[in-house]
Amino acid sequence: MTKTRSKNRRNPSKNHDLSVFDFSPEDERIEKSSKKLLQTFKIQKRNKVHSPVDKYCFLRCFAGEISSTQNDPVIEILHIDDSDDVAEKNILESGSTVASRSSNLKPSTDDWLCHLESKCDTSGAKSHITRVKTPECSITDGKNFGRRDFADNEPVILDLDDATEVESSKAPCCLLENKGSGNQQELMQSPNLCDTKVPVVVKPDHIMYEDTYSTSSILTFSCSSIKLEGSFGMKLPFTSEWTLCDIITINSEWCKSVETALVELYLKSKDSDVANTDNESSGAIVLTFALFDPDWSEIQEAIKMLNVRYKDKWNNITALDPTRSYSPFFGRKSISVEEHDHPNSRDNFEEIIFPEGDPDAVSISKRDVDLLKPKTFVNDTIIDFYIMYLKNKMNLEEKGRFHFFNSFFFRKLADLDRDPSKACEGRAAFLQVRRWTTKVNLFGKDFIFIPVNFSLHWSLIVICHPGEVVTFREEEMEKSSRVPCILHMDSIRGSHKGLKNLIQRYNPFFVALTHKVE
Amino acid sequence: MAEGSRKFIKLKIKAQDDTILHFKVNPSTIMKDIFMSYSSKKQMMNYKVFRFFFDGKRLSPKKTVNELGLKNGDEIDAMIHQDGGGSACNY
Repeated sequence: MTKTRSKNRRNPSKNHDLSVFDFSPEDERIEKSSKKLLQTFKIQKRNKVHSPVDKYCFLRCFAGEISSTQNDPVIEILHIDDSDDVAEKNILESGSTVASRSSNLKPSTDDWLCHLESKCDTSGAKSHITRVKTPECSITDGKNFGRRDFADNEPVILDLDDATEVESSKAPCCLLENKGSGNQQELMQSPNLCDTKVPVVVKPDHIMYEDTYSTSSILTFSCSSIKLEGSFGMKLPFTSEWTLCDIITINSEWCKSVETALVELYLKSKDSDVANTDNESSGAIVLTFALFDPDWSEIQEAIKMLNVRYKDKWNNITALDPTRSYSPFFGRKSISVEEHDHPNSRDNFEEIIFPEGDPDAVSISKRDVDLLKPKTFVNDTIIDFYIMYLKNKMNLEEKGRFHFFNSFFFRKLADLDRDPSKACEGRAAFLQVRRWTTKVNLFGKDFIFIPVNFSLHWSLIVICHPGEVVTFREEEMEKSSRVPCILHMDSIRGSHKGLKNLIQRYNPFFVALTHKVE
Repeated sequence: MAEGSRKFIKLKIKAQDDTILHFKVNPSTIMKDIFMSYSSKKQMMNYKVFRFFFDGKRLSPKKTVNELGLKNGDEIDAMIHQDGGGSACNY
């Protein structure tokens, strides 16, 4: 009890120190300049499109330069084996042809070309060890160039998807090289070529498979099979694999406005022996996924290049396709946008419960989705849904570090609806919400998020490192990276100013909780 | 079965102004029915203007009292829905 009181005594000074986290003119200046910086990035990214012809010219010069500057090693090899010289030139030439051809294929990505080029050279180097020297030079040069180019033009972080996507480009590259130089045929026709094709791995944001869905599954397209790994609903981790013969159709739809691809895979079910190719929907499993990736077209090309079968079965469809009855994104729980929402038939559309089976699940209806239109207010369901959505994307370990309250917690805690003169008693407010957190140890969390709604405006309160309150000493403030504090993030500065005081007044809520934990 | 259906449990629904309404329900009652009767008592046409919470958990209108694990004497919070906007950052 004495402990609690001493903490109380310490609180006012702490609150005083928290003024560091308030907005000040200084902050605004910093934010402005950072905004400017970000804008320059944006512009750079947009202007990034170079003409493929320019690129070709550049690469030709580039290749030419290498052959002139690397003259010495060429001559060195020359007197070892005469015939190799010709082939060597071919490599360089083919390098540039590949570059030019692939630039026609994907004119927008510069760094791709470099990767392609270096890949070609690598394959050349593998098969003709005597010629290692020259290609190697161009590999390193090509890579350096690629890196430079990347650093200059592309402030994008390459993630796993991109990396594999680039790797898988080996396949188209090889084929093109084949056309470019005739004397390398034997390399192309090696039987184990298939194994060298790197599978394309996609991590869709959402997969619907049979009756369940998943947000954390991985889909691997390799040259012989499609593999699905992940956890579905409340079931155990799940793996399934289909050979290419099982593919009936692949429908791919690109929604440009949201940069998301919606793909339906019709696969032959393993149980049914009868191939029912006439009717796509019967006897087939439908696997649909949605993937947010601005570079989907490249991933798509990479998958198609893995095997001809992908290419044969691939249909690109548009959203306006009249043959489609539903959107793969919502699967059978479709929210039909065209559906006329009559005021009296408010129950005729289906709700989506997310995440299904979770006690904290939020059910979201068409009416809520409509609130996402411009110039409308967002309601609590949307806020809570989005919090659940973000939470669902985290892995288990991360989830343990955070706690998210729903959007009503603050209202209940601050007791905004009652007579303000009565609502000052923190203890009473704490009792209101005590049962909400009985199963959660709030002081074991790193961050606690509290959405706040007041006077038709949303803001967010973040309580950082509440656990440190017990042991934290103010002298350590500068050294420690875990400073217990409360941040209030409000997009309209000052609009929720009064509430900040409320939060500070509700510090007893945390003291009371500490008491319980101890 | 016959015995089970005769067993009623009492639920309290507490509004934001601390007024409490008592409901006597069957464990197999769908929550939506309770919500609708609460809303009509509050002179609301649509139960969807309220959100119902038990221990901070949203109660789904589609589930039954039993499915949600509500016990005799449990207190449900009824809150009016919240709307709000934000501000686009226009620096």
